[in-house]
Amino acid sequence: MDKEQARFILRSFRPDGADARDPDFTEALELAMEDRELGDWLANERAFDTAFSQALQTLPLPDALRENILAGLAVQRGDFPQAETPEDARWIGAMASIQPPPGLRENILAAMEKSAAVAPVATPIRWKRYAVPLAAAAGIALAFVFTRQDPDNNPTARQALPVDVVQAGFVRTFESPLFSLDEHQEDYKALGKHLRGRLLPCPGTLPPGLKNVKSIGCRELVIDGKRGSLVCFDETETGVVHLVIFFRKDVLEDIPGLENVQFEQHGNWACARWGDAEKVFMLMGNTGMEKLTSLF
Amino acid sequence: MSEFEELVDAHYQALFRFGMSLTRSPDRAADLVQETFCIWAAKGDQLKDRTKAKTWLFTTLHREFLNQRRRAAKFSDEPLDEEAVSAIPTSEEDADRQMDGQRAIEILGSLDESFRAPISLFYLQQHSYKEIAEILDLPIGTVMSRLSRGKEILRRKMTSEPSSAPKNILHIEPGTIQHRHG
Repeated sequence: MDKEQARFILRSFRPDGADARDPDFTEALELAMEDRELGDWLANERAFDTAFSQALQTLPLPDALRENILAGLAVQRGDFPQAETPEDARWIGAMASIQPPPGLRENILAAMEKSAAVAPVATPIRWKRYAVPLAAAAGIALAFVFTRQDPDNNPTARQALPVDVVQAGFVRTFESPLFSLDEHQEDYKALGKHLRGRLLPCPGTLPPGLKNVKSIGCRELVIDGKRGSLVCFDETETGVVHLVIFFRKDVLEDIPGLENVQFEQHGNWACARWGDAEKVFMLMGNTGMEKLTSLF
Repeated sequence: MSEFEELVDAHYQALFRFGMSLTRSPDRAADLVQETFCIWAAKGDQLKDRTKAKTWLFTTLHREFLNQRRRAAKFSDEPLDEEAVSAIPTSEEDADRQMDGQRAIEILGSLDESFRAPISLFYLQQHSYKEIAEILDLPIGTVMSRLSRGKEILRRKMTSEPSSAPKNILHIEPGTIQHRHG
């Protein structure tokens, strides 16, 4: 390797030194250590790269870019941001107390009928154009989220979810690159205590094959505004299995008890479902149905 | 904080700056970032290797840029939207730093497009040349060649137009740095 070849390679060497252990750079770096002129050139190159990189990092961002991205995502995904502070909660509570005027629904329907003859024009998604309605939608949605904890007194609370939606929501969460657990414990009863403390549904009636299995950890699952729990177990034969628990009132279907478990296979995921008086359980594993059924 | 928020927080700034270097317009860059995350919301669960999320997002933004440009068929000849760049709102204390970032984007924007994307990725998020090859769907040798030539051109531009260089970049002649290994 001559100096020109080394320069060619070292121009791809990152200024933060992250490539120092990449064998593709070894020979060129060794040459730079032996050759004073090449070493000076590399030091100069890295100083330039660092300065230019730092200059680019100072490029300011538009106001509310992050908020607009999240609002757009919330609308697209059909879920909504959570209330985070007492101040948020007060505003949300106040908004939720606002009642629509009598006849509003009928007026809207009548207006829609009149405008139905005008074909909508398809336009590309532009966040600025959608920012105000998205923000309004997010605000209204927050009111729904906040008030969902007392659905009996709240006629606007969201309806129960189909069990398939709950299962799909778990898989989406689990396969996210940022999936993590809130609590790690080998004793599932300790996890139950943690979940109970957060007013989340806890493991109740477990299948026989899981009773002496070590748990891995647990976390909260929020699917379409409904709060549930996830407890993961490390089962020797089956591999890791995931127990998804939701309150019965939040799940649409009438799920039978442990004596009559429902089994389903969705792609790579095997699922067993059962319920008790208060909760619905979904045991899911990225495995075949035979292994999952062996736990019951 | 939801997982989506964590993903957005981790990458939206670098994605916006990459979008700025490609489009030279804050509005278009913001649109690209928005659309990239919307595509993630619809298709991100198909990504099995979770460590590839960053590469996936930059690849998607670049593809979306190319798709938009094909549709518009006018991007590459557009002059730099300097008014739009300078219109990005910032606080007063950021004024000095803002100038540096804008100048850097202007210099990047003056590069031929074949150099602009790899050079931007190299400097913006400090991707390795292998990751850049994956994002831009180019052979590794081509990326190394473009980085090498693109950086030479970048330096020449700043030497011939020193006033256009970001303020924190000083020109150091070879031999003026004390040898680090001797």
